[in-house]
Amino acid sequence: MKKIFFIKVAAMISILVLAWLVPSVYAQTKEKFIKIGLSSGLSGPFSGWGIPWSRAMEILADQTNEAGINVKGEKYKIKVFPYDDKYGGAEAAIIAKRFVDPDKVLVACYIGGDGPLAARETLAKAGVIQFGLPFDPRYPDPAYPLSFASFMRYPECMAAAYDWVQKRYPAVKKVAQISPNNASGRGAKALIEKHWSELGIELLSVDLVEPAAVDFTAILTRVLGMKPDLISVSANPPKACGLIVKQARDLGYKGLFIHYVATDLSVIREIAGPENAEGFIGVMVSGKPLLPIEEKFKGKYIARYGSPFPDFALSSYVGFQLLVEAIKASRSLEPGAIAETMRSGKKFDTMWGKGYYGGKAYYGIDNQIIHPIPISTLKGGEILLLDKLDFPGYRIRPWAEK
Amino acid sequence: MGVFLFQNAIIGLNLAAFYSLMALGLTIMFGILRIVNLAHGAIYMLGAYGTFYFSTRLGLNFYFAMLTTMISLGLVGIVTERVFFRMVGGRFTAIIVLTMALTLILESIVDLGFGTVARGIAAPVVGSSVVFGMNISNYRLALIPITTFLVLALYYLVYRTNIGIAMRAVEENSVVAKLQGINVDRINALVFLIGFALAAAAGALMAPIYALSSDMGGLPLLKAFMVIIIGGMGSMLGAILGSIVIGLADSLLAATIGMELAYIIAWVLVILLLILKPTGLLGET
Repeated sequence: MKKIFFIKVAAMISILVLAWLVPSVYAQTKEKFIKIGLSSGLSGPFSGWGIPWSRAMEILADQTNEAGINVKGEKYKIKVFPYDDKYGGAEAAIIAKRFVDPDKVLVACYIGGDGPLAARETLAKAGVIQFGLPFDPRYPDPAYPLSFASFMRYPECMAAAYDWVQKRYPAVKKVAQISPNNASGRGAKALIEKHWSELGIELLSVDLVEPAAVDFTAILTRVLGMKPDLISVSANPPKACGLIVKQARDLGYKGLFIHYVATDLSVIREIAGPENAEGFIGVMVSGKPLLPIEEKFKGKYIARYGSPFPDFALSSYVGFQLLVEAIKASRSLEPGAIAETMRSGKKFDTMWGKGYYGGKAYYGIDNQIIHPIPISTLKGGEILLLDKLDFPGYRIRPWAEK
Repeated sequence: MGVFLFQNAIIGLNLAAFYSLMALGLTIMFGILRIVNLAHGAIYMLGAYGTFYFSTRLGLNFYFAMLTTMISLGLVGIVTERVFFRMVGGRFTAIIVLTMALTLILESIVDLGFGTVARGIAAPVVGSSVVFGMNISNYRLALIPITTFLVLALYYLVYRTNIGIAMRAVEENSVVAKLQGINVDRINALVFLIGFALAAAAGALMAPIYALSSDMGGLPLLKAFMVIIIGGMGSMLGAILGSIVIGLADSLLAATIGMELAYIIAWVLVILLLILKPTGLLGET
């Protein structure tokens, strides 16, 4: 009797599960998708970058899917596959295998740390386009024509921002840098130590710190003893930037702070407090007055994920726009054809103006995204746009010998 | 050089104050109940978020918000002991899995409730003072006496009151303590209350210095384990001594040889101590 009862219950559950599964499976088979993988630190100290970055792509996918992407007369939608690599190479390499199979993505996107380089070989062998942000001189590389840099990095941002800093803050003569000891921080250190003098500024020190560190006071006592005019916190995630600012101000530092490649001023303000964060310079950060298209994106972000809005999502969105626009323009799902379209010199629309893929003079291949560079600061608790610079070309010598 | 070392000694003592609060909560739970509470970092995180909620959302005075959080999380400790720990008994692996699961659950709840963007909280004491030529925030200075008070209060409770005698009796032998008429269940609940409240106090006090995020408890938990390994598992005095050693090492080594190297050296020291004196400086076999 009991056995029959259990069989009946099991049968009912099976019917319910099938009734739930079948329509969704059927609906999925009708639609065609362009699969984009996202691998980033969704947890841990670097989630301040990973979460807004992933969400920016999710919003762009929604917006793109309203009209779809037309490839040879068929309409495709973007489907994203977000994973948490904890900003580490080991996890990123495992996720790369998952992107290849079973996900079978067309593009695998990575942000920062050791992840992009750890995943590159697997993705290259499988013919998957890689769209990543490593601060490493070995990326992009002509040997990996499907690997593209998804953000403008030190060679691009420093070239543009250093002239600007020198003109706007002529009193800045001595600079100290504090960066995390990961691929990003080490990459920044290698570039800065070699070529800082070319930018006409005295480099006092470059400290590499434990990436999960929260107390920088001891390091700061030594750094502040050298009396820097400017402290660069580049390659640090927004949370660490906020902590460095707060702790340096506690120790009496009155000078400037800068982050060269896309930070999040809203998070820095939240952690350090508006008074401490006053004057922080964020390169590749947009601020008030926001463009209508930026406001629209911000509204969508808040509607979907709630407040507060992390402004790092804006620069992430611009990078993804350059990817999606290139896929649209190629009218192909063949990775080689898309990559050729990206390298064609064609200019694509982004939220911040026209962007393209360049960098051959520096990297040996046009696989680096280039777009206008906004520079913002915190003033009176508000994020204000100071300037928007066009990329002036490379001022510093190639990052390192390959 | 002298001023530089003195500056970093003050910073080291400041760190020691923080580590001791974390380590004492952990060591008291291990010493009396033999529980390795991996959720201690998550309770520290809740202490920070609780104070953030009570002070910035409900507008309570910072210290009152901290006290409210300590009491609330102390009560959560009692419930946790009743609902979870009493059910699994003293099974080591079950406790490890349980406390890890609790950590993940609490972190996810905070992400859902407060969002994933890191938060900050203003210090209740503003400004900075010049101490022997060194600027140090008044709040950091204030932390040293506040923490000292909490540590002394705990010491008084454990070594100078009847409750403390009962706690130590349970630590010695819970069966004999029960035969002597001590309500062991009540003592266990009290230990949870104290352990959770201390972690909450550490979280609340450090919230204005550090940033709030759901994963903020990981590093302090690691430091607390370093401290009690050095001081000796279950020893209150050992935890205080270990905190001072780690606090000063963190500060002086980081300032002189860099944070990365300091991190490696600190762990090498812990490994050496584990080999040479596995019970720690003041721990018993």
